[in-house]
Amino acid sequence: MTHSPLQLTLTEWDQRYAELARAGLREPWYGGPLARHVERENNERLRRLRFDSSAAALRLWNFLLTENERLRTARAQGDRLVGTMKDLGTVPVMACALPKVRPFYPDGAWWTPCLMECSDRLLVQADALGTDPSFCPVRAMLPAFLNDEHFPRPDLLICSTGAVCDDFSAIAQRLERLGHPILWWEMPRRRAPDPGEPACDLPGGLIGPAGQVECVREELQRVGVELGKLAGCDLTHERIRAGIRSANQIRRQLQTLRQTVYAAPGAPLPALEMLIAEMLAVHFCSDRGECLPVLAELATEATRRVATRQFVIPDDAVRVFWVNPVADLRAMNLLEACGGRLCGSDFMFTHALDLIPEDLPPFEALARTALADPMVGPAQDRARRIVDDCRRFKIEAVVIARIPGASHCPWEGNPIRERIADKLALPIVEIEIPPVCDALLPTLRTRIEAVLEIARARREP
Amino acid sequence: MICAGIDAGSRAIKVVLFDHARSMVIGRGLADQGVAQPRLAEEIFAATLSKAGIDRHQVRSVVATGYGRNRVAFATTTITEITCHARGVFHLAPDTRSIVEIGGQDSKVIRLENGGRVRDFAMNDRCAAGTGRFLEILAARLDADWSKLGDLSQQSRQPALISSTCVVFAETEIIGLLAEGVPAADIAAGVQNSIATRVMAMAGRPLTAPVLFTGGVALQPGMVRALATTLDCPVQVAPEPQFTGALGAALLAARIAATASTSSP
Amino acid sequence: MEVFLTSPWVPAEIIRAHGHRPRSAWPATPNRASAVPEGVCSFAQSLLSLAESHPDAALVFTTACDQMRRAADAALARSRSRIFLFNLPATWQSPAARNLYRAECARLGRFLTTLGGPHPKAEDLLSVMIDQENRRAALRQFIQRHPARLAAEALAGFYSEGIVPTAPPTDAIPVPRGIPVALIGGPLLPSQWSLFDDLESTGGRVVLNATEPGERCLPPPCPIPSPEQPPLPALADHYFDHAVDAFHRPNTRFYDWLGPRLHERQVRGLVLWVHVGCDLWRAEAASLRDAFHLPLLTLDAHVESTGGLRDTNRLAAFIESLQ
Repeated sequence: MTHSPLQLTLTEWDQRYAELARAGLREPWYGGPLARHVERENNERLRRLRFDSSAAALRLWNFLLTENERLRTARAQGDRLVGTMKDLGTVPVMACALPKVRPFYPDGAWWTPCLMECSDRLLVQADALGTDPSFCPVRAMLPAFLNDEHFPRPDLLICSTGAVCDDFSAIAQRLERLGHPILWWEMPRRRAPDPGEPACDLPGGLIGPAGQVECVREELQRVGVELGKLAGCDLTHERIRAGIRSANQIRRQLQTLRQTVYAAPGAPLPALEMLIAEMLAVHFCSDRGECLPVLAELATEATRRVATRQFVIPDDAVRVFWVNPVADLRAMNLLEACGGRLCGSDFMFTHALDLIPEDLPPFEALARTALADPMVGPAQDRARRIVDDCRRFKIEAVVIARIPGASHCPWEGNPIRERIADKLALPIVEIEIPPVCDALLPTLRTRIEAVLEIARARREP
Repeated sequence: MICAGIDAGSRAIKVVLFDHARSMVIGRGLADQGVAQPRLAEEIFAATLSKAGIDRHQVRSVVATGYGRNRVAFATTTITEITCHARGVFHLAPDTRSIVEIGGQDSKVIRLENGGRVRDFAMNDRCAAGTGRFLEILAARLDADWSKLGDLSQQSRQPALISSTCVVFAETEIIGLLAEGVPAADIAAGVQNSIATRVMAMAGRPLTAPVLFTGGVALQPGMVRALATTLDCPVQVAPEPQFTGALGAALLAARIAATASTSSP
Repeated sequence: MEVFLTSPWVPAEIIRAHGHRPRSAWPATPNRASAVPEGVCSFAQSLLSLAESHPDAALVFTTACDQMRRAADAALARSRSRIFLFNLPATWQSPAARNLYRAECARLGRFLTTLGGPHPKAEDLLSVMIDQENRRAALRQFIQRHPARLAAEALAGFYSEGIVPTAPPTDAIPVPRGIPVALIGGPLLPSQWSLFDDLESTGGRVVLNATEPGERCLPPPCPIPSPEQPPLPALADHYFDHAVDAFHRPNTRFYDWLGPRLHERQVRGLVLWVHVGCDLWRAEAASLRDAFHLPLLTLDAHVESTGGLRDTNRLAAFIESLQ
């Protein structure tokens, strides 16, 4: 069933769902009307968001919002649960390669206060546990671990450390002190090789010292041994190779989706759905197999809309590149409300969108991918990729979203701004978005509108 | 052609009437902001028109800007204060390359290109430390009139060091300084320096001269010196700095009206 | 060349052996840092000012925390001084981390050579190690016998100029009285030493300084390798094995170091010194309380000074509560 794309409220989606159901909508086990997530999981925030009206978007949201249910079911079926923290996209590839092992992303709890409009009191409890608002909203993870109301307790917790943000490192350490043992693995801070130093190509056009790759490879092998112990079988090279191939299928699908949406003459999908879709590259919603059809359906819908020139906002919307994920999902809706459309993104894990090399020994390939993480290198590397993507997608304005309390945000803004200003002279705005930004919406709107006004003014001869 | 700009700011509503044909401001009005924002905007607009001897129907276009812009029901359209300040400054001092605007609740740094187009801007986030709010708190603590703080700061011999990045803690520091017997003039100068420092931190990079200072806080003697010292470059104060945003809005209103008349059949 | 070290966990011996002058950043940071953007660690910001004010020097930053890593990037982009970012592993339990640390020591040596220093022979490094160890031994003795402020001054002198004070007879030192407290946390700059005085004036006494550069930063005596052994790996391993800091993951080593000392010195309260913007130390407040069941006061450190009357009041209340 086709119809003109819209951004619907939750109530409007009820009606839309009924239409789809009448038209013979087929859904997986996690399907159903979106409104049920408000009743079941108390995700009040959904009432304030606007969702894309496609069946593909419905499936995406249902997939995301049933994560805790999926994990509980998996636990009941005897699967081993592995919390993969901070690492953005490497260890899950290894964990998924083992039978009856299911990785998930406890860091994702940072959206829980937003979705539940803080009725969960997670941030208040995080304060009481010693992580006040000077830490990033991932601090919501701490009480989520302790109160068992969200995700089940994992059988193994794995966390990268070293070149990671300070607040996450501090929060994870606090978690361990609260009685949750963590398998830490070292992530060196990526640097350019010194003259004459053996070097390796990394995904994303980066180069790293061979010694650093070796360090990460050894660390991942150590993690692999522990994962094998948990699974009761070895994490063989064959298994990881197969895991890498599967992960790459998802990454290819995401590349297709991004290319279709960001390069299109109008916006075939809204910014919010693109953020949620891209995040799947990192955590698979603990079901890698299901990830692929979810993304494929979205890409099909986007392609259809482009072919029929059906877009979610007017064609003259300003083409915006968005840097960093937002603590409040409502901010993504705001972009379209202000007259912008998402045409490029760096949600802090661009390396997880690049293909993992399949022609290298598997641990070597994973190590190189992990080292290409934009967060473990200098912001200048990140800025370079952002500029390249801005060129590729004909970006007119850039929004840098700051995560409150995150140690990297106050430092990254300037190098990114300076490179964009130097190479492209695009208008840029930096905005800080708290987990529930309602009170700041007028302020945020002013900033976003201002940067879009500047971009529009530049269209004039 | 007469157009109007309304800057519905957090502290005050400012109105500017601009005669495009004569390229001059023909009326200005200012009123304190309040809870009934739409009514206050209506009243000050009507008063300004009356004072200028203009009938409402003579006004071809109205642009509203500022925090409360969406509550100005009679506006033809809304435009953000960034664009409006830039346009107002370009009209007043076309060579300007950087604008520092410090208002009641927020502050901004706007970088301009040749021709007055906005190149880049930065605004304070949630913290009010770099804004006029800080001066209000100081005035309350010193039991002084806000408008006299600038004169007071001029008497300072050794500005106090206010180190906090948070205005609430800075208030605690002010209390501490008063308890230690630090002269009020030194505290006032210290607060001005602190505001200037926050603005510089917000700007991130050195500002290109000429720098123009706009917004109500620019009226305070001492503030421009504090900014110039901190930014390490000369700073000029815009004429009637509290009206720059409204002026820009009026100028943009004129352009909108002109575009509309050329595109209409 | 002057080479500023921003962390105690990079061997100054390597710098000396390469013919350069190691200096610690703590005593050299300007009293007034430039404007600190929201969320930036005030100490990291002050290091940027240090880099900008010393264009002819080199600075060795470390990856101990995100703020420091990114400050190094900013210094590299903004200042004319030579910047080296030492990859300090956060983990310590794996061979990969140890190898990384050793490789970084060797890389630091290569960097120092590019600054114009000679590549040292093994015996040169060994000789520096012995000399440094002798000075550290004297410093340890001095610290044990002196009140906290004098000890801090001595430590600063050692890290800044390599000077070790000669200890006067023990009976010449006035023994401060007061409730024993431990001062724990990140960098404590000379401009902030009034904290010792404030504590004493309110009836307290620092019996353990576990800030930087306090006792925590003095590694135990380093066994001098035999002439047949290459000295650099031995030196690297000694530092790697004895670093005691909040950034380690897990940071059990820090707690293992702290626990016995708190007990021995009958510490009754903890003062946690946290630079504004420093997440790693701030997050330890709750864990320190849980681990040692001692009252704890967190003080926010700005670069310019202590928090004045506000901190004094809080210290006074804290000490009163311990009495």
